[in-house]
Amino acid sequence: MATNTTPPPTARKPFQSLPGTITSLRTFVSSLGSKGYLLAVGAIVLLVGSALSQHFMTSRNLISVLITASVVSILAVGQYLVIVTGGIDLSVGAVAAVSSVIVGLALQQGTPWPVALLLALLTAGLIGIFNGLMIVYGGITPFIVTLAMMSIARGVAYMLQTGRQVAIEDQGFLAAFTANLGPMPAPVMIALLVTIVFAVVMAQTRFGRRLFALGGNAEAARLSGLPIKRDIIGAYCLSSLLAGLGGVMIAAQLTEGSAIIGEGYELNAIAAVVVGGASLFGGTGDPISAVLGGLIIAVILNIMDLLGIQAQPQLIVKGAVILLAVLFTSGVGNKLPGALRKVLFQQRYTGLPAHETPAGAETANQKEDANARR
Amino acid sequence: MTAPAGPKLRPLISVSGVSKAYPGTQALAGVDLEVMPGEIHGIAGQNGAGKSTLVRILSGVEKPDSGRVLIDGESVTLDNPQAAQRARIMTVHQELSLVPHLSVAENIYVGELPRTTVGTVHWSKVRNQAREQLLRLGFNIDVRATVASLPIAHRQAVEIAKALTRDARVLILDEPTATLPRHDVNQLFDLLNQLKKLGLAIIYISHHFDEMYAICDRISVFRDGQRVALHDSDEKQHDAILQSMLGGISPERSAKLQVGPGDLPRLGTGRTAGEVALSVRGLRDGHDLHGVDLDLHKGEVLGIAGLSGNGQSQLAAALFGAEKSQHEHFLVNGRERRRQDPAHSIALGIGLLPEERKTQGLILGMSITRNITMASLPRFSPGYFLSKSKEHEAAVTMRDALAIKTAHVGEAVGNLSGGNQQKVALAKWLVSGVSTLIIVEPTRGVDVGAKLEIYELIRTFSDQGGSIILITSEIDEALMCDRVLILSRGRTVGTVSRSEIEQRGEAAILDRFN
Repeated sequence: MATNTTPPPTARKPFQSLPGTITSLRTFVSSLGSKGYLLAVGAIVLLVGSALSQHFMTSRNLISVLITASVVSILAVGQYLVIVTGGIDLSVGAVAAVSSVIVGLALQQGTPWPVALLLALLTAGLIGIFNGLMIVYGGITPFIVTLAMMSIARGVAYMLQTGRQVAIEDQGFLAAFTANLGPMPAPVMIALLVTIVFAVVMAQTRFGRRLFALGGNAEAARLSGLPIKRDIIGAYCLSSLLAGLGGVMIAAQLTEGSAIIGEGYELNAIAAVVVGGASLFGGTGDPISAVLGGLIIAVILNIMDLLGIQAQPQLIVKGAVILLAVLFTSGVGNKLPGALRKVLFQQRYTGLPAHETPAGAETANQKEDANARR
Repeated sequence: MTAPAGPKLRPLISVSGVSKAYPGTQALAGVDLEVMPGEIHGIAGQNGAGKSTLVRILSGVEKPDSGRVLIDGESVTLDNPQAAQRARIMTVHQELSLVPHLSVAENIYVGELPRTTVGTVHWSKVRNQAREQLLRLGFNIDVRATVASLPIAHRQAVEIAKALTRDARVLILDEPTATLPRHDVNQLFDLLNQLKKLGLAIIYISHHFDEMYAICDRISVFRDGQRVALHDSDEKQHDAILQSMLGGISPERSAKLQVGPGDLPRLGTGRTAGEVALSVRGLRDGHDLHGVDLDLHKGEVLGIAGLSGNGQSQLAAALFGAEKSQHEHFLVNGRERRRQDPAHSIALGIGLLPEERKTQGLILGMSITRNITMASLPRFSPGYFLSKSKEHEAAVTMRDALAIKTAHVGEAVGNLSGGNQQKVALAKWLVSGVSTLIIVEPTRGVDVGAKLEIYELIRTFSDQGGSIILITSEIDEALMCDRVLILSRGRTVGTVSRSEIEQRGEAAILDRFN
């Protein structure tokens, strides 16, 4: 407001600047889109954390949270690419395990680490392509295909490992994935890079646009000439590929490849995407929100750790966070007390007030249906 | 009009003044309908005339805004499907509502299986009663077989048997023959004649007049949410029935369209000769299309007219390559089409404006801009990235050119009215630069003002040399074309030239129906 050059009546100036600031704050928040509410929730969580524990706001603690969250963030980005098409990928945790075992075994054979990395990613990518092919040409729903693949991949990981420990001693590999890369540890930087790349892909490229269209209405996308089969396969391939990358990163952190890693990571990734506001019916959300969703969960868990809360109640809190987030981002949010809604959801409704929309009967019904389904 | 009726004077079901509005449309406006016991009463009307809404009200799925339903003289409230069942009104829906993986007997008694004294299901009783019921209807069906294993005619018999075990007095059949093979239709008719003798009141909804003349006693015609006429069911009444169903151009409607009766807007420029953009022979798909031949000239607006339910949407899908079909030849600009695939059709310069705008044409949750550029993304991404400013520019240009009513092009398409949605769907193809458009029922669910605008846009496309196949069940729209093919039961059965239309008006087309 300081840059405002038109001189307002002097007596009223102090009273005007406050609403002015709030308005510009709101404009800023709404320009962030759905990320606005995530950032708001994140800020609240950070404030609560620093109030509850003096160890929370230390760079050591925050960096360790980021390192912990890095793998799930990468998986969440992959999961988002699938969820935006209206699908789901339950196999990512198991694919991470396969990939960790493969990279470990390859390094034990003395393979140069970049080659070992490529080998692991290639395997992961092929698994994803297989998932996609089964969905597109086998006509099996994504849930079933990837559920089966979750079991198959886990089994493959165990068989490759053959019961022995796959220790990793390749210093070059360990350094590449754990040492500091610029200002932050490598896992954090890799997660950041992946997030930015796919945020750009979704917002700025044809492929990203086609995924949105596919999830919004696959039939309309097909009748507009979009290659929906190829894109579905592409989305599952990328999800798997990113899961493979996550597996390699865990292997570096644990200095071993293991068939038991990544257990339940698929659910953490899905939770992150959902908390990030994407609809499981597809066509909405963005990768940055998915990562923010995952970070919010990670920070809440970290705060509970610092407070010495046991793992069991933490599970309950985590579940409650997921439910709350979805309640907030779905139609039920309309029924929340008005004041709370105004603060948190302003940007979601601006431009489309109900009484001005000339939407036909069917549109209104469809909206109701969509809300009922959620 | 003689009033043929059943033996008794009091109607078994009587609907009076029933109205139902959905936001934006009056689906039913004060409908009356009386069906006598032992009468089969046909209901005819175009899609959107209000037939399905009436069925939904009578089967308790929707509540009417006003009006009454009397059963045997007593007023009934049909708040939910159970209430309709209690009133003994049974509906056999177009898609049958049987449970495919349960047995025939279980389906007939589902929800009210007879019990033994200890509370378990009395299976032998279930089976015997089911078998008897079906035999009474003239069907010898293994009641232990699953419904999924039965031919469709038998499934229908099961559905009707199910209705009868619940003491149906009023039976509503919604397009019962839509999925029925031809030779099974007679079997259904025998069954209906038996039910008629039992004194049921039967409401029979169909798009096929020959069936209605064969089985119905009277025919009510619906148009624009009203019952506009009640006719004897007789082939001699055919012209009169068509006239009431299609309405022609009433003075009222002409006024709204700003044209006089003899002065229809023309969608095309009259180019019915010269280079052929699209030439198709013997197009068939095995179920709905049985031989479509057409030649579309460059710059021509070729109407394909037919009553609803004669294969219109299937024809559009086959022409666009969205569904598989067989053909003797399929030439685009003189060369055989290589693949049946929308992307290939678009590459050949063909676009489809589909009948189901909301489910096939648009992505309702996406912005106007993104919908408009969807079919031409490569054009908007010269390098690796989409050019948002080019997209925006194209969308704004289209919004202004097509008068799409919206404050900003970032708005979700789902928030627009039907007419504006249709303009967005059309804009998508104008941006993509296709030279041939397949358009199906372009003004369905569009208000009168936007209707005329859409006609103007089609005319503009034609003026600029575009070729159009306009598939329509609106007689007015057919009359606006350069040339009209008649589609009947999945076949093209004749051509009506522009001069014929000009000499004889709608009779030129109506005479070819059936």
